[in-house]
Amino acid sequence: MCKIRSMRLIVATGLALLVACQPASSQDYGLGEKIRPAPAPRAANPSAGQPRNVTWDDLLPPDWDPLAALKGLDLARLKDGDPRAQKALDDLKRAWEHAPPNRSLHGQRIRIPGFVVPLDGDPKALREFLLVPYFGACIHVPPPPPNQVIHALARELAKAQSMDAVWATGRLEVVRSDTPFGSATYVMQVEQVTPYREKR
Amino acid sequence: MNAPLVEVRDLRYAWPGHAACLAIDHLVLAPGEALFLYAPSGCANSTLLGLIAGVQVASAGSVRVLGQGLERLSASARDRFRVDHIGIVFQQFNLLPYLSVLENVLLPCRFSPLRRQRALADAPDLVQAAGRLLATLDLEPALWRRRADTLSVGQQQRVALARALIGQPELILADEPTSALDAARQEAFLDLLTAACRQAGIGLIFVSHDLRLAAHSTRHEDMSRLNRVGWA
Amino acid sequence: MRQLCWLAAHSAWNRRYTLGLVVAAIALSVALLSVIERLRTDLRASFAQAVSGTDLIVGARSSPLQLVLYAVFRMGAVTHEMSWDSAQAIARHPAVAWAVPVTLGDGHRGYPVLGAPASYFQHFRYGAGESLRFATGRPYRGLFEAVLGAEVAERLGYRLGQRILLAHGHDPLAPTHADKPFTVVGILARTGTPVDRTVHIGLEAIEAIHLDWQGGAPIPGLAIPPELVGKFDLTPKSITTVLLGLKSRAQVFAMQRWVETQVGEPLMAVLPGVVLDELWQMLAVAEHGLLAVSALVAGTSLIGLVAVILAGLNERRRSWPSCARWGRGRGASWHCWSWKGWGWSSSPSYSAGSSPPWPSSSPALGWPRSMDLGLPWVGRRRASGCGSPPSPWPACRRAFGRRRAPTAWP
Repeated sequence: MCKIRSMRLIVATGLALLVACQPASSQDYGLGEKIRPAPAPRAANPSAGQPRNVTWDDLLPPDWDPLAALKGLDLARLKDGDPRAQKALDDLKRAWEHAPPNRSLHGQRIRIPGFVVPLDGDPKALREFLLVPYFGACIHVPPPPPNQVIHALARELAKAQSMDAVWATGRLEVVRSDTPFGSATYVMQVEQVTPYREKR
Repeated sequence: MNAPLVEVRDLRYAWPGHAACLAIDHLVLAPGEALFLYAPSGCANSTLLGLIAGVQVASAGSVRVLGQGLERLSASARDRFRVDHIGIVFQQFNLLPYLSVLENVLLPCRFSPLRRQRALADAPDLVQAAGRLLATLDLEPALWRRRADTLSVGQQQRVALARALIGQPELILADEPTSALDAARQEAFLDLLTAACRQAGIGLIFVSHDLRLAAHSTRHEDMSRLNRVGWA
Repeated sequence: MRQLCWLAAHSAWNRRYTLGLVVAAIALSVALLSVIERLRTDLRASFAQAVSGTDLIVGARSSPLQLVLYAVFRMGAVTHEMSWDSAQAIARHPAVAWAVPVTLGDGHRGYPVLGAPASYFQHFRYGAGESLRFATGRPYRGLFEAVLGAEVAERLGYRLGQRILLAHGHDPLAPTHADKPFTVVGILARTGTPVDRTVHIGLEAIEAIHLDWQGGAPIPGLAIPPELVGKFDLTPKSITTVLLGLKSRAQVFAMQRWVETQVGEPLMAVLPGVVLDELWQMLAVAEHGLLAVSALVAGTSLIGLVAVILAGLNERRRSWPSCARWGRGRGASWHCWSWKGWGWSSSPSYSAGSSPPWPSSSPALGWPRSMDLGLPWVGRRRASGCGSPPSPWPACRRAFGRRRAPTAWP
């Protein structure tokens, strides 16, 4: 009897270990779902001061109004098929695609949670990655606007794989780029990447 | 008067979870004395030898060997005491089969600096010391380098005896040393054993269920009388 | 301690054949375990470092994984090609820093042939952003010139100036373009990526060798000699894929969306890092299963060793009381046994222990049946010191088991 019980225990432990080794974290989020709130971790380098906790909304410039194209347009009074409505929508989309960055954050040391999109390196030694606000940002979902994507350069190789939720701490910069997709983008010199754990 | 070699007083011993199996009020062995313990089976004679050798510790009472109370020593101290002062001859010889005869005989000298010193007192080196002992026990030099398990039963028992004698321990314990030998050799072996002990002044306790062997020593004890646990 | 080592060595030598077999079994199982672990990590790392600095890989719409595997690793195939016009349109986009069109399909003695402009050697990076270097020679300039990867040159023994024939397809038995030999003008330094096993030629060269071919076979009766191919338009009509580098990596999503919706042809743009990550996540379960199997194999070998030790104990029971006699009843015995086990464990094969000079006897700790030993007073064994993982187990049974009374004599 004792032998059977201990065998069961061994098998159960083995299976539990196998299951526990499965990649986690990304399974909890649905496509397009934003990152849920969680307590911020301690900074890796306390002597440098506490980084500022930033949300994705903070990355939008305070004076930017993406709905400006629709101002002054009373949709209810337009006829069906009115070209002004379509033009307004196109302007809206273009405004969204050319969303400017919040320049007040340039040079600041921040901490922000997001999902990882790997660019260079393997999951145990990630050198460059993108940080996006919602899950599945590259799969069948409209891409985030330029001021909601951070190009992260890891000083120390990070351990994260595609669509892992992480806290990234580092210095944010606004870098000029002359392309149809936006005049400037966020680049972050990442000093610490930690897994993102929600408070349940 | 010399201090006794072995002194057992009010000894009580019980195996864990069992009733007491040994209760001896008084037993003394003088230095150089030979004691034959007649022990029919079931009298816990091996337990007694184990207690005297310091393998077990008495539940109550005291066992003193060479004046040293064994119950006061730690387990490793008892081990060292045993290898320094006591030689043991087993019923089944218990030689290490993968060592040669010489290596078997010299094993105690490897583990006891005292025995090694004593062995070297009489001979220029250990091999010669062992060789002399083996020669007195009628084991010719051709056998010395052979593996211990290639010898005959009688030869092996004599090698075991040499192993017990090397380095002149003060006490030798022999548990049924002749049970494995045939009748013709039993007498010869015991002669060798008692003569060697007498010559070197080594105390001897040998245990057997064969009363005929009692003739080899002047002192006899009956375990069934000595051990009060067996009394009705 | 020295004496214990000496004794342990003798005892081990006495059982050398059995031990040798067990050592071999453990060595093999440990080797299996370490090979699998090594393969797992190295394979993953080598996949990840095969391409670096390429933001998007663009191709005809199919499976992203299929495209990445074909374009980067030359594994498998893609179902459609993309048009040259689309490639041009993408390359002209203001957000693109560089674009390298690539065609695959032909082979040379089992090695894949890659057609790309000479700018490929400048823009393609691998590992931690390292560029391709030439061990000898230079990139191709003429039409029928080829650059070899390091492994191709080494395995086939090619040198600069060698003339090689390309085949239509990766199959070694595929029909060759025998009338248009290529000259090796450059050999790349070793990279540890699929570049090493690739033959590189220009895009126009791919067109040139297929000028007189139709539907995968040469047109009978039509043979255009190499010196006349220049008279024809060698602009490619379709290519397999375009490797893109962007001016700003953060705009990769926007560029991806543009390629997929604005070009006019059904295309897809994939991020190689993301696709490879997904591949590894899919393989993770198989990976762990493989590890579990190799761990079981190692465990089985260790159990075999323990069985040998336990079986050997039986033979040693007569020598045990001798050990007890010399003061080895306790810690020393543990030391001796552990030392032998430790000695074996330290060997590269991590094999453990020989059998100690222990009597086995029954479950009775240290109390073998008296008739077996003559003197059942082996006593307690106190565990002191450490030993290798497998060998202490039988010792533990004895060291920590309870004493029991000896059985009655017959």
